[in-house]
Amino acid sequence: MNRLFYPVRATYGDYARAAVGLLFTLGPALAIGQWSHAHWLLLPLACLFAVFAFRTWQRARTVVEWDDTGLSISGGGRASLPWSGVVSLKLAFYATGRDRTGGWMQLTLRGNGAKVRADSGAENFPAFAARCAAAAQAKGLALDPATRANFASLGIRLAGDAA
Amino acid sequence: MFAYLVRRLLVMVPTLLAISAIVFTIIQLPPGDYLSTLIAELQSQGEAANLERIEFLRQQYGLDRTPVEQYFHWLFGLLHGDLGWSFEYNLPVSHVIGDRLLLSFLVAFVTVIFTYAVAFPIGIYSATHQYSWGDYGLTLLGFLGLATPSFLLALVMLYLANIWFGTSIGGLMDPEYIDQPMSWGKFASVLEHLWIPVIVIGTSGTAAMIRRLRANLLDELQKQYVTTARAKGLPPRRALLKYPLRMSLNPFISDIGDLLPHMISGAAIVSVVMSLPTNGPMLLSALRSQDMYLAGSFLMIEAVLIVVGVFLSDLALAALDPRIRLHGGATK
Repeated sequence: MNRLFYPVRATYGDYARAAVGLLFTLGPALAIGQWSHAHWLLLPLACLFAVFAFRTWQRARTVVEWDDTGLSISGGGRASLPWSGVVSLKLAFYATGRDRTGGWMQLTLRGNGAKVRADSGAENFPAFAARCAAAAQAKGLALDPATRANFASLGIRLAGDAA
Repeated sequence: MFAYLVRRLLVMVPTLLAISAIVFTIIQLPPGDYLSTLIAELQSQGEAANLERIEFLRQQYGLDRTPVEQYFHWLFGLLHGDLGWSFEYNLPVSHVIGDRLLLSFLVAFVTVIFTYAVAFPIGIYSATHQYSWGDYGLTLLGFLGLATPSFLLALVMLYLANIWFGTSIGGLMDPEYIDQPMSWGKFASVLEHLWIPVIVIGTSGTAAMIRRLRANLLDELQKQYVTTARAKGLPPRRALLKYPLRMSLNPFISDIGDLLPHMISGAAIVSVVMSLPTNGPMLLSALRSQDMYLAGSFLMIEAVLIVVGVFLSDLALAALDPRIRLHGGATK
């Protein structure tokens, strides 16, 4: 059984981002006092950062385990998905700079009414991505060009890729 | 995508704070303030300035405080939706720019629609009919559009519109509707005048967009996947619209960041020539007279629009083209 999980240090950055976001939105909203137009902007943004903090906490507890038959999720939600039930696979890259020099990958797998997301900050991400790619190929799923290019950058070759 | 959205939003906060500090510093950089400019103007006209009253106004407007105090006072006001006080108009800034903002937005929005509506079909035609007579003719028109100064075109268009259509010279409406509440008559008058600034402001942008779209599309059309698609029998229209056109639009999505601030202060020179009641001339006047809160508000609104525009274009690009460009592996 293989495991994908998020080390504590991998979530520090996102907790810090959520805290800074809340500081810069909830802080001024409280400092202003009486209701003004600015609250219409600041409070929804504060909610967004609060949701981000919650999702980070949920992600930190998530463990994905997989074997030859399928995968199961525990911790931040429960679900299981046999490899034969995979209906779509997408691997996106989100750049943090305009020149795309930094960033992270996010893998999204759907099937059996479940949606599994994993990002490249997790331990064992390349092995998990390789297993998902193999499952998608075994089922003959069509992968979009961006997903193929992102798999290639991880060193995962798919059938039909140029040598 | 959610994490990406949050990260991008977070980057906007220090960016806007830094811009606000830079804007305020630049406005403070010229020696003196609005009141000292006023005194100099009065003295140049041979009038004596009431120094006691000037000192009273300086205290009243907070100009006797340190620049740092003034900055934080302004910043805190912005959070309240209070843009400050215009010394020149002796009114709150929000009242001064309110009506003009709407007209500026209308002119810029219609100009953008005009630019896209004209440039897209011509750009696609030029790329798909490269080196044809049509391509040469449209290229010539494009270069003429790029080379003609907008203010010169404005003068010619004003003359022709007056001679041929009897449209009153300058402005965005007939004189009797100025400062009147909105009505169908006023709306019709605005529409009657609107096409002139739209053509004048939009011409150079349209010509530039035609050239860029043609070049981008030609690059895409020469790639192997297009040849393969054609060889496999994909209909020509579909082989053009499905990927090549979409890929050649990426630079235009990146341009949204530049497009939004133009909605507020674009084409200031043309607006001066055509007497348009838009924000551009008012911003120029505020900068000249050191009406610091009015100028600062304009610049801050522009900065917000640039930052929001870049944010929107980044989101659109991430959604349309989530592809890695570098092969260094994925890190977080």
